[in-house]
Amino acid sequence: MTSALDAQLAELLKRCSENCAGRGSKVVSMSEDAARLELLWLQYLTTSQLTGTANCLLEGTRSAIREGVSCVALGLVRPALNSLRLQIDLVLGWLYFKDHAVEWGRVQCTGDGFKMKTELLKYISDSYDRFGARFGILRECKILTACCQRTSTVKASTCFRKFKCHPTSWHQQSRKTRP
Amino acid sequence: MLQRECSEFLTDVLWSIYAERWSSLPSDLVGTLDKRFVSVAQRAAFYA
Repeated sequence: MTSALDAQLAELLKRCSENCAGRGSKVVSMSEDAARLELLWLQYLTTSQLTGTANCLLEGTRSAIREGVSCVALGLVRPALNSLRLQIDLVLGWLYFKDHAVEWGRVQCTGDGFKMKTELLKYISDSYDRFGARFGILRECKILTACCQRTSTVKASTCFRKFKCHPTSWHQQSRKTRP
Repeated sequence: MLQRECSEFLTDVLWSIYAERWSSLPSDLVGTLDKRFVSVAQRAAFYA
């Protein structure tokens, strides 16, 4: 039993090493570039928008980026996808909890009161003036750009949907959960 | 690449909240956003 486990671990180590050695640096560079705008926002938010409540969620977002990049370099795709999902959860959560110290305290003390993405997006839409209009404009930009470039067979709206409230391919309730 | 999609989604959410603060945002962010607009009218509507 132990020897079989050892063999599997050795195989895992070998495959991860091969992934890292073969295309690790290229993947890390590409991922770093892909996260560039998000990192710039995180830098801005942590230097000028912290309220003292739930600050750790933004630091957690940075960690999730590092984690995702590391997983991709190792060839661990599903954990990398979970790290992407986590980035969204943490930033949306921060946008709510930064202004809700009592609710944040409750989540920390009891684990109750955690907000789902649908709730968070509704809160953001209701609370920030012109959020919906601006977000709609940016989505329109994305769709128009994708149509003009014609570089992808995947519709922009389909890509976008992955990161909305119910990213079917990630919530583990579809055939795509098979590795 | 999915990291780019994720980054763009969060960037769009944050831009839609903090657009009024564009003058204090990193110029790289502002420049990248401006390149995405397909018309002057669209840009004006966003910042309005």
